[in-house]
Amino acid sequence: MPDQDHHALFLTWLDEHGSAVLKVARAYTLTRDDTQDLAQEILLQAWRSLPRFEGKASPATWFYRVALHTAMNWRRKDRPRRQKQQPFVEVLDVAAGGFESGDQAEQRETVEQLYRAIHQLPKADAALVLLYLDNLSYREMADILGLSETNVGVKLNRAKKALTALMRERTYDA
Amino acid sequence: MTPDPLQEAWQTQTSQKITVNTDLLLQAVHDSHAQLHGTILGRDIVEIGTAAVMIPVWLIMGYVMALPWTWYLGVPAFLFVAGFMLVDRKRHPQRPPAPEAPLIESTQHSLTQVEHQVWLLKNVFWWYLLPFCIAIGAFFGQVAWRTGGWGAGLVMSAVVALVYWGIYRLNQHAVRKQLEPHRDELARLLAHLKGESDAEAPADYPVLMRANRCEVSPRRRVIAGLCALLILLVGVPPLLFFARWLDRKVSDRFDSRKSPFAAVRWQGPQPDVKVGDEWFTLVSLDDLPASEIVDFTRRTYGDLWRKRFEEDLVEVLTRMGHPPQDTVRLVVQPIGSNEQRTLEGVRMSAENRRAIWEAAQARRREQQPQPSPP
Repeated sequence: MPDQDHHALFLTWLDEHGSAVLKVARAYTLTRDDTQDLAQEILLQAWRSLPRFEGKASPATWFYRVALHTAMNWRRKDRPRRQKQQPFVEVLDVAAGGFESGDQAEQRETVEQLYRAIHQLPKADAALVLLYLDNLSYREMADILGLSETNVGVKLNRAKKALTALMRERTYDA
Repeated sequence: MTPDPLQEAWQTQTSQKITVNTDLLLQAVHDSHAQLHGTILGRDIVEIGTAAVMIPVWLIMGYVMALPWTWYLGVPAFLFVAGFMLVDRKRHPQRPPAPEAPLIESTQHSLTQVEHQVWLLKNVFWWYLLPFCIAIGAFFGQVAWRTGGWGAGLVMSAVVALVYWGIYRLNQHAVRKQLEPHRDELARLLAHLKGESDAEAPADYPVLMRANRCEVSPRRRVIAGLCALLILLVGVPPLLFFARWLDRKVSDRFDSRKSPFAAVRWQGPQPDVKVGDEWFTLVSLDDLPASEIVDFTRRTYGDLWRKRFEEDLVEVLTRMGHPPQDTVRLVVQPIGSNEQRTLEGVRMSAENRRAIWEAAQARRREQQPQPSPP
């Protein structure tokens, strides 16, 4: 694939699946700086892996694989090395503004609660929950994780129970 | 599948968004690619290049400083370490795992690589430090044996042991603080993905490690220490004895600086010689009268005749047409006795000649005028 095609394809996919990168980065980090650092590393890995993309998986599956793999191997200690890079990713807070409805505010609070709960899950369960929340099918989850669909089902049930329990705790705490 | 409320909320999340500067991303890709290659190249240069540079340096140092042959045992040690690294690099290439592979597969790949790094650093003593320990131990031992400086040899060995201990501890620190936590995390993740109840690691662990955490148990630590000591004890002394034996053979065979006398002193023009622990007046050597040898040296070497007799006897006898063999026949007269004795098969040795030379050096130092106090 020529470089120009790479460039164009990457930008298209980034537009479509960039939110997955941010979600994974947020799910596996606790601070904003770390989120930005991990998101940057994921995109770097994605760009490097792009020439090896054979089209066997969908772009969504491929992006998730790269993102999760990078997140699992991401280490805060390597940050000084990465800080030598000029930042090319910026995570922006979108202000709620004055037009946010009650439902939107509630959803925003639910999402924050979800992130807090995901931070407490084991890494593998967090990956399953992320894929589930993004409404991926069992087949896609199995492709991303390298498990059988039956196994995905069993594990996802367990992970959802853990998530529900954590969310309930949060609700009671609040 | 009908999305549940959590999924709905999740998919509509808009609290944060990501912006990417693609020009800078391309620059970062280029830089990180160059950095990765630089790191690998740098590591190869440091690890294998050091050996390639050190071998000629070692050889030149040995030649220029006329060091004993055990010095050159460092060369096979360097070759072994460089060879080990090359074979290891070939068998376990440090390729980054393909991030687009399924998570379970890429995690397994990462885990295997981290485990191998742990194995390498855990066993750094066996493949990196021990070959040099044997070479350096043999060298210090031989030098100490030759010069009798066992104290200095022990001190130098202790310094080297301290440096090696430091290198070993640094490696173990890196394992404990960096590699093992990462390995444990990957093992837990993999176990969780596979649905195993505990983070049991693969069974292909080296003999010195326990399978579950790559830790060296106290019992194995003691066994490993005893093995290392045994290798050093079994390896170094035979090398020392061999070095000693070879030294003698080489100097006896090729070195013309030999003498049958352990010491020489003079009664006017008459040499008294020490053979074994006893002093004698020399009557003849290989049927050459002592007076004839002395006359020849006085005629040939002028003021240096005594020095030549004492230190260059092989050359003197050769020039007289009687090159000596490895042993000579001496006719001597014990001091204070008129009886003559014949000593057959007295060995011409470099040690004797060295002792005579050192005694002459000491005499010269004593004869030098002492500086007067101010």
